[in-house]
Amino acid sequence: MLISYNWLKDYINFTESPEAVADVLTMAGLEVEGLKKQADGDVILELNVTPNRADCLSVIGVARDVSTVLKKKLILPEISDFDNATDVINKDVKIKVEILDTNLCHRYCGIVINGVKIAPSPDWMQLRLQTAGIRPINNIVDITNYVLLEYGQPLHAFDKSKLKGDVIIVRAAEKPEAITTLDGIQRTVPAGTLLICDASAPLAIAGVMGGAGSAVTEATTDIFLESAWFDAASIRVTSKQTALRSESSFRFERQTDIEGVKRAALRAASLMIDYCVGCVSEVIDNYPTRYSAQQIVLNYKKVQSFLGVQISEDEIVAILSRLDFKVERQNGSIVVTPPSFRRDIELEADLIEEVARIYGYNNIPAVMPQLSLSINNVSDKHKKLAELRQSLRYAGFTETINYSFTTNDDFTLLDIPEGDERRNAVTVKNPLQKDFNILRTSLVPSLLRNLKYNISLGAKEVYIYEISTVFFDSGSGFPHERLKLAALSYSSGGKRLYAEPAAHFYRIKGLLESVLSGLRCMNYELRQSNEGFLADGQSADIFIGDDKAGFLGLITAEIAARLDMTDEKPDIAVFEMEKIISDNESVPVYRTNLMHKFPPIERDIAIVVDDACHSCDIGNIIKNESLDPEHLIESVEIFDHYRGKNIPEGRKSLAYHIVYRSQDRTLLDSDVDTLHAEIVKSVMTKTGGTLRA
Amino acid sequence: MTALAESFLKELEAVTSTVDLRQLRSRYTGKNGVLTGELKKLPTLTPHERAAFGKQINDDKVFIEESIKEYEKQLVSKEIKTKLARDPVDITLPGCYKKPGGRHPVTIVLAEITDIFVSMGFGIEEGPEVESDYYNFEALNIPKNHPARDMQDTFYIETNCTGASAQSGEGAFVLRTHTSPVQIRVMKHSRPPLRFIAPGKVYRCDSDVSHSPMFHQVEGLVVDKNISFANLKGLLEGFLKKVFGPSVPVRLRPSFFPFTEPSAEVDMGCYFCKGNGCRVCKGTGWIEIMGAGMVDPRVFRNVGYDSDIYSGFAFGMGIERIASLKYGIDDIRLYYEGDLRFLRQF
Repeated sequence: MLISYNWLKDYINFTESPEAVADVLTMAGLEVEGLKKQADGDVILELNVTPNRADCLSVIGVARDVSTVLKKKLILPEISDFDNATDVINKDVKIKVEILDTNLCHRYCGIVINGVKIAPSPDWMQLRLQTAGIRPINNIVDITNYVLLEYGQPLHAFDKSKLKGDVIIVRAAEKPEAITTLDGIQRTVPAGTLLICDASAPLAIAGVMGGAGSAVTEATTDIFLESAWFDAASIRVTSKQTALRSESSFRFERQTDIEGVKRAALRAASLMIDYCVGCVSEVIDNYPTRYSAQQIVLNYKKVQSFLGVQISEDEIVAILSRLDFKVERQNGSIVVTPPSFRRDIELEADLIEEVARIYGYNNIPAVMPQLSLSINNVSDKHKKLAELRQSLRYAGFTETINYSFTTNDDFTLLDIPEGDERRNAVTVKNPLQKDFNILRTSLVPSLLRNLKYNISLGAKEVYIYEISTVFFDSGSGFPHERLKLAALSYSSGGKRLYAEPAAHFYRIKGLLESVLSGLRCMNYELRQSNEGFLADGQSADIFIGDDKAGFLGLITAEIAARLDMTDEKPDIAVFEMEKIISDNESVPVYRTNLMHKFPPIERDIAIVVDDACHSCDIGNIIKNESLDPEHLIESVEIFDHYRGKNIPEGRKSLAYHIVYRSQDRTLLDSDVDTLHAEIVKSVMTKTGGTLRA
Repeated sequence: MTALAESFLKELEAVTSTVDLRQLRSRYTGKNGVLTGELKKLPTLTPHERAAFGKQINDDKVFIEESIKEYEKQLVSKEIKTKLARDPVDITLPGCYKKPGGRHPVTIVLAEITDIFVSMGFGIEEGPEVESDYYNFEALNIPKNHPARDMQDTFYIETNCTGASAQSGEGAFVLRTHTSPVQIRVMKHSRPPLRFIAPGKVYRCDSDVSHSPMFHQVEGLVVDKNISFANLKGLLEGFLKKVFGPSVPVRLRPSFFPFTEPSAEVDMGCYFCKGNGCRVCKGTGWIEIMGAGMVDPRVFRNVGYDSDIYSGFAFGMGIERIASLKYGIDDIRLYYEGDLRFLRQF
């Protein structure tokens, strides 16, 4: 809302500067977002009027708040009620107003003005309209807009000669109906739309826009002026359905002052007589659904305790009275009747806010609350997520956060097959842009886009991760939301100062292992993956129990090519996993292994086996309990994995370090020799391997 | 000293390496060494001479072994020094370690805020990012066809189920426009006293330099007996001073949120111009940083709390907004582009 500083002076005698007025309004809840100096010395206040303050969508409404804070009298315009017939002619011309839908139209006033001369409105009025952002048209239309700005009551002027049958019918459309609006566009409004009609056709979409057929033109001499109260929700629905927003609909949506309907019409009529030469011939006021003022009991002790400040009963009464609330004192409480233009005031709390905002939030002390201690709900999840982020960070990975929005292109990019759960995405009805129309089911495509973007910026190495919620359509009801962790590791293979420790697959696997061991999650298993976007033989699925919890591996060259990667053999490894944090909040029972002081005996075993043989299988053979009934094996660790010179094609050499230790004695070589020999034999038999020479 | 010992010492003086020393040792004490040779003379001696000769050889042996051991220590330490001197490191080359990755500024600020509230005994709660119309709007006193809905541009979710009642949470679904629905969720399943924060992603249908269709909020709620507006002021002032420094001025001014009454915008003195007026604060000297207010009795009614017994306050803030002020970031889109040059600064 744009409010002229000079216009405010029509209603209050004050000397405060525009800046001071802006501060007064801001601190009373009408935020002034900017001040604009005008050529004529006036200053425009740019007000952000919150949806509850319909009364402040008018200059008088804003003036009332200023007068309340400044403790100055509000001076309202003098308005004739035209009961003195000197300027009233043709009393016998009757227009009948029929309100067929009294739920949607509670009151309808009409004034007939004859013999007007259409001309430009006076300069001062045009200027006020322009500074408020309204284009001047002619004296009649400008006066309706002027009164709209002054009182917040939308008005509409019809060319009376275009009305058929001297009747105005206010009704809701029973079926879709056609009307050409003022902007020249033919529209069809749905059933239920409130319409203003004459004997034959709709003249206007009530509260939203007038029709072209009955508009005031240069040739107009007789005016039918409408001032009415329409149901806020109904006007809002119509405005949305027709995609028409006007100064009128904006105010009706927020509830106009039903008691001010006639006053605004009379004010406009007075101005029309002053500036358009006409005479008022008829004043109609059809008010079938009466406003009844609500009374609210306000306990002033409650005001004090709720706000936490010792504000006196007198001050409370004074503030409310200055805001035009009717106040009656009773024992310990007051009975308050809010004015008809403050329909937002329904409860005691609403009154307390009125008191507080005029008293000044700045005058209320800041006091820390006194609360009793309790065991609060800070779940392990937050601690674990923090730890997880920390460990990923020290593994060299940078956190990214990507939009939850994406498109079906994600599925195409990764060749996600039809029927795969990940295609079961949630759709956004009104996406901001075309490529934002579904919600993610996987984080990997986002990380691949991050990769592409960073490579375009010249990055040679990209180590990134994201922890975010993904969404799966549940068919009905709430979608399923799951927390996922995904990481991506890429290096262009350029020269580096110190040798890299391992191939890419092992680096991403190492990251996964460090993450999972950090989370004390050890019961997972890797199985051969059949994800189409991961390279054969360089990928695995992560299983927790029998449930697939994720995957890891190298992105195929084909997928990488779709990202326009220029590397010949781009080295992109990813993993994605869910169920990273278990929901189980029960307190676990720990049993610590006791450390034994007896010295260990250490032995190595190096064995040449088939390439297809899995290193962990050999580890399991070594740890086989039937060979080691005394549980002398303390640990088994692989320390060498070799292919190449001196090893036959299709085979590899694996070497393990075994630590033997007894819990109750110092082991002798002779204790271990037999066991170790049996283990070596068992490994050879079960793998078909040979000892490495 | 015997002649043998003397000739040994002479040879020892000439030795300069541990390799030579090992050879010298084996020449004297080895199987076919000088000492063994000497012992072979024993049978040629008289029993009387034998005792004295044997003792002498033994003394020589002890002497030789001790001397070698002593000399070896010196040699080894000398050799290490020489070797190190021949193989120097460039102490200015970078050390060998994995460079830590960057933290996301949103995560940093969120953790900082969480820590402050947890230190005051607040719990942490969560809610779904796709919310029902009921939790996101209706229960928060934002009825259908109310202009208050215009305050938040909403993303709607395509759904198969039509006509189901929104009250049961099965009506229209939206991407939550704020973290406030978590208030309702928590109050519906627990009783006062309550104090918690609810961080998370929220969504608004808006995109430019200062608006992102997805961003992060932290919601806070305190419900107990005798909670006042002055308490709301006290807590938020304390919080902002902890985040932005003890000298930052804080003010509350009246505003409107359908789920609080009275409602307030929380402003702090502009971080950049110290209140003198600049581009960031649009010349006002103040920056809007949070929304807050006393819980509206209509909200308490919706969750079955008696507003004659309990009162409370709620507040909400945008994480990106706080991060942008702290780190001087002027384009909100930077948070979601994944540019490592940006993210690695944190």
